Amino acid sequence: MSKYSGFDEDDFYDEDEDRDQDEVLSPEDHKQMEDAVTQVKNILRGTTATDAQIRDAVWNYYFDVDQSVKFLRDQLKRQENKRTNAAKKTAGSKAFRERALFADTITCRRRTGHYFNDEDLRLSKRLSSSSKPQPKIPLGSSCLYGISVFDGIPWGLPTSMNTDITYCGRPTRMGLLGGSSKLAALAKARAVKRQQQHEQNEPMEGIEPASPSTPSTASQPGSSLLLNTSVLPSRSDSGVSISKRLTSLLAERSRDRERTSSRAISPEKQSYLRRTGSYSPSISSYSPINSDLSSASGVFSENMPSSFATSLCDYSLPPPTFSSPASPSSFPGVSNVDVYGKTNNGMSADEIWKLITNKPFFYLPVTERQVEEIKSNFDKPSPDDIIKEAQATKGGTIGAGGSKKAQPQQKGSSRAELETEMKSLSIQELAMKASQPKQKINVVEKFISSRRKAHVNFVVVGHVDAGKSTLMGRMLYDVGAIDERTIQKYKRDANNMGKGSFAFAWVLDQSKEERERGVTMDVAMNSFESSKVAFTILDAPGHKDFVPNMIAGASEGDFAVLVIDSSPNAFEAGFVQSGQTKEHALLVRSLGVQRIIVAVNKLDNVNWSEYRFDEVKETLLAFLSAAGFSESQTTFIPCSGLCGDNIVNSSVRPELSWYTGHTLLEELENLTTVDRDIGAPLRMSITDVFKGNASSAINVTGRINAGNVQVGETVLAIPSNETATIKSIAIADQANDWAVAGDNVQVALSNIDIVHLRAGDILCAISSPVKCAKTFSARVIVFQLRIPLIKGSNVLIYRGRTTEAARILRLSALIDKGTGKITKHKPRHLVSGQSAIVELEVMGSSFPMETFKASKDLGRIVLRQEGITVAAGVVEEILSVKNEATNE
Amino acid sequence: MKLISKQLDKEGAGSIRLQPEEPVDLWHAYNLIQAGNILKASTFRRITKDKDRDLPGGGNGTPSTSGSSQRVQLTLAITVQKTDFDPTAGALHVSGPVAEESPHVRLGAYHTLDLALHRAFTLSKLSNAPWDSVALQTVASACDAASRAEVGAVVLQPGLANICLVTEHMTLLRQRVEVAIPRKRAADSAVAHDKAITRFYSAVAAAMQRHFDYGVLKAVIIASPGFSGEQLLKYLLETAAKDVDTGSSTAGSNKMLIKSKNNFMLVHCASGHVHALNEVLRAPEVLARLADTKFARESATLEKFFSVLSEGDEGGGVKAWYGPKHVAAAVDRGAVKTLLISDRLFRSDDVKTRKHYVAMVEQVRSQGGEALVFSSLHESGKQLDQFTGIAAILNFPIPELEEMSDDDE
Repeated sequence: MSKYSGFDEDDFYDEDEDRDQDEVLSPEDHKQMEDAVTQVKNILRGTTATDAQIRDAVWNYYFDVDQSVKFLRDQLKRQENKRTNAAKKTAGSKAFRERALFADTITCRRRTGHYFNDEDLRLSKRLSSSSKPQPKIPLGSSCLYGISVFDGIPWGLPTSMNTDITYCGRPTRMGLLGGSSKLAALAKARAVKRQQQHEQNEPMEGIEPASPSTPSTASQPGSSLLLNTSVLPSRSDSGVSISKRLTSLLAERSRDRERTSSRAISPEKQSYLRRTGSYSPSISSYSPINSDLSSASGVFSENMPSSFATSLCDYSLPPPTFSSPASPSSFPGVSNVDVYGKTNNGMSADEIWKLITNKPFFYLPVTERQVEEIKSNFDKPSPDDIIKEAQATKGGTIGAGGSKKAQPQQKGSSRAELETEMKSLSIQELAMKASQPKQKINVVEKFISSRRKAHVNFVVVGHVDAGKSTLMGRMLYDVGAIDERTIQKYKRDANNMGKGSFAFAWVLDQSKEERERGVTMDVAMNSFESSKVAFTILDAPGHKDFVPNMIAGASEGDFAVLVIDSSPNAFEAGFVQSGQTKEHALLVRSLGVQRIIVAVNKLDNVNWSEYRFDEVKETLLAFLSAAGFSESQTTFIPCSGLCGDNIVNSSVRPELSWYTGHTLLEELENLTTVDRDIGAPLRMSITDVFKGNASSAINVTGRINAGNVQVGETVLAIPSNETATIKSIAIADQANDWAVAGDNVQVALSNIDIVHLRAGDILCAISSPVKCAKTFSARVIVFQLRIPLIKGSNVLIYRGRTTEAARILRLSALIDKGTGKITKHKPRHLVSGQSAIVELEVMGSSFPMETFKASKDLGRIVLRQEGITVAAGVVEEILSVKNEATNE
Repeated sequence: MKLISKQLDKEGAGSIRLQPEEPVDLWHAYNLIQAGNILKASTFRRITKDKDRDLPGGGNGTPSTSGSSQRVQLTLAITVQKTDFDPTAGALHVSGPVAEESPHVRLGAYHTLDLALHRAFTLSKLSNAPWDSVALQTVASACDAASRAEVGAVVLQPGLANICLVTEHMTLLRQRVEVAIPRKRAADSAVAHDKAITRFYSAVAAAMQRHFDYGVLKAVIIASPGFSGEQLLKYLLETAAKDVDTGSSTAGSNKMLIKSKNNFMLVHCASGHVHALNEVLRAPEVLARLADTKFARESATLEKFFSVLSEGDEGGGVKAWYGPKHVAAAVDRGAVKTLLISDRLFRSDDVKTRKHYVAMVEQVRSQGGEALVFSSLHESGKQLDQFTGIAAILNFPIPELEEMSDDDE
């Protein structure tokens, strides 16, 4: 395969760049030039020919003194005649002007320090090659230009000008990616479109070469030949489009040329020249040969006639019309060559054509393979197209060295284009996923303006059988959230089960098992509204086996109600080391709750004794302040869930007259809500996932930890990394279009499968997904331990609904509780009451996590071991992230 | 394991021929076979016959260039380089270069022996790494039919269950059942919760049926926090009774289930995660029944270690230490009452390392202490492995240990 088989646009440019730099006059050329110039000067002494003119002429005629002299004389003569006979334009003078223009071109180029480019070179060399003394070849014997390629080598050209025609293999037309891909098809379609555009822009000038608009075109042998030959294949079936494109291109070029030539050589000329320079790559597109200076002419001559011949292979072709019969001046110095000579002698193009077609040997030298090769050469997109496109995109302003400049830009732009396309693809994908709400609500503003009722989420904790559920059931009943009929039914059913006192608890303990056993097992969520505040109750289980559920509940609450059984021995039972009163209080504190209301319950069992109340209060106060609750943030209320005293209504009981404080509800209403960052990226921890009754949507309940959410928004579920669209939002069973941090919501999600959602997952804003930690460091406070914590200890990490097995990787340091300063590095074990920095490794699946700094809610963890809470703490740093994690 | 022959010289070099009978025997074999040993066993190998030598014309229409290949059963001896054990699949692969001349395989060619049940193998140890006391003890315990006990264990919590088989030396996690259980919510959705719970139990019951052979198991432990275990047992017995009545395809195994009803044990544990097994196996009710089993002993010993460790300085100094350096120092001072060591340490490819630990075990035993080799396939062993794999309960505190650096970590 040749190096062109993997053909793409860039290849051209690289090559051209090289050549541009190579095209300097070689030392030999210089010497020849100097010699020739002196000779011409001598001959033309006394005329007005300038030095520059001579130089140009010499160069044009390739150091042929005679021809240069002849040309210069003609030129001078023409200059004289010019004014008098401006209208009388013969083909010769036209050609002469072309020459002059060309000479000027070169001069100009030299002046501006530009090297010759291909256009000039091709022209000059084309001319010079025909001006060389060539062996006399009879017209009949493959004397046409095309054939001469094959025996053109021994013509006595300077070695530097010899062409090494190397066959580099047929550049097969390869589409991008093998041509079968969609991309290739797309590129093809684009090429066709582009070409059609060209055709529209160029109204077929080139196809009618005889039209009056093009004589000057034809007078340029190079382009005219190209032009004419290119007309031919357009009539054959194959390569129609290619030839059309070529034609249009050439037409444009010649038009350019004409335009310039009609103008006097103007200041714009330089830019024009550059532009024509930018066409230079055309040569390489026709040639599989890596052309450099010395091979440029060879390349040209090889291709030109063969493409010509290719088209000639079609017998059915009508004779081409050589639009403007080659004039003597357009083929300067052809007098040595028969074919041109005859042309000069008045042979019409038709005659030539006949001559050609009558000679079957004419195309014999052109083998099938060559034909193929040539055809394939034209199969490639012309670089002119590409450059023109680049120019067009650049708004037609190309600075100095336009062609050179255009190349990297083209390269860059195509790559950039691809990149942006690729990006837009993915963006599109995401954008498709991220369907925006129809009407984007500025939730933050709305929240501020809405002045909705304060939402208070509180968790009810306490030792098992302290009466938490009954207390809350009573409260719901008293505020009218539960109707009388339901309560009566519960009472009846409970009595039938022999558990009459549990009727109020049944309001919250809904499951069959809970009712049978009379134990709350999972957190029950319920909501009600008072005149001032909307409440969400989280009734946590008190049994030690369900502490994980209690943690889940506590992580949803902002405040805590600690329920104490004040019955004889019951309080003490709950307050021992393993009792849940202590554990719960510590847990809610480590989960971020600062305000706690202690409901001293079941005072009816102790005859509303103030003494008992004070006893409980004192004991607890000491403990709670040690646990980190400030005294001002702690309130004690004597009450009875069963009797309903001091819950919603103040007690009228004379025995309780010693208490003058608030009722539980009043105290709850006085709670000031915590400020949360509602403008932050969304974080919502899922507490439950279930299928809706009617709709196909998946319902999730949970707590918005940060940010806000609105209907129609697309969110990302971590760790499954699946997107879902919010279909509806309900806060406390009330539908709402939006929700903000701190709300406990039920959200209906669409466009997601239920398998991608688990309790404990995080819904987050697509723009900032949560990380899934593999290892992380945490600051922990060690609780009462049965066995010390050592390196390698297995623990369970709890955060909200999420539970994950983990082990302690390293005990980094002991820290001082008060100051947080490190007191000892690498302790061997941790015992009760110590504070430490530990590194943990998550063993199981992904654990979406954030540092405490980033999120107060998601950065808090509880460590448990064998059913005992061993430590609680905050995530300090995420050390490594799960591979499969989702963070792109 | 069946001991077929034993030829050892004074230093302990020599060969022992064994036949694995049960999956756990492969685990023993895995602990016995070390790099550098010579293992001889029956195996299959694809032998390519060169057409020039053995089979003229290539035969069988296969391209003559490659000759023909045949799977040949042959007995090969290899010098062990690598062992690979998969406890779940019960497969042990040993690979290395062929060490003995064979008509089919040239010396030095690599081969992988797959040790299989009921197929004898001969393991030879050279004098540089002879059969030491720990290895011989492994052989003895492997061949002790009386010490075989298999217990089925299910640890569960609502929505998560782990079905395990616990043998003397291995804990095999057979299946993990996870069912999403919606939380109870207002009135109607409590039904969804109860439904999901039932679905969960039926999934667990099905998994148990698949993995437990009630006729063989010495006991079935059902452990959970809360009431899940209780409910599971209730569900199991109810459905089994129903099944037997209707005479469905699973009636046979359900009959066995009902028959072995008394083998079921309900134990409380903190969570449904596998490592709760450790807590389960040292529960008093389990110990009462399975006190003679190795795993119960291991769990109890580890528990003891932790309790001693948590006592801290109370007894005038710490009497529980872990880490190779500290324990070695304690052994040197003759202070070790109980040595807890993971079998992982004996599997070291480095002969010196193994010798070091073997010597430590022998020293403790000679001092009258107890050396307990933990199976790293048990939860207790895994936990021990996580803190260096070696620990010791001391008879008396050694203050010098406190000054020792922790660089072994």
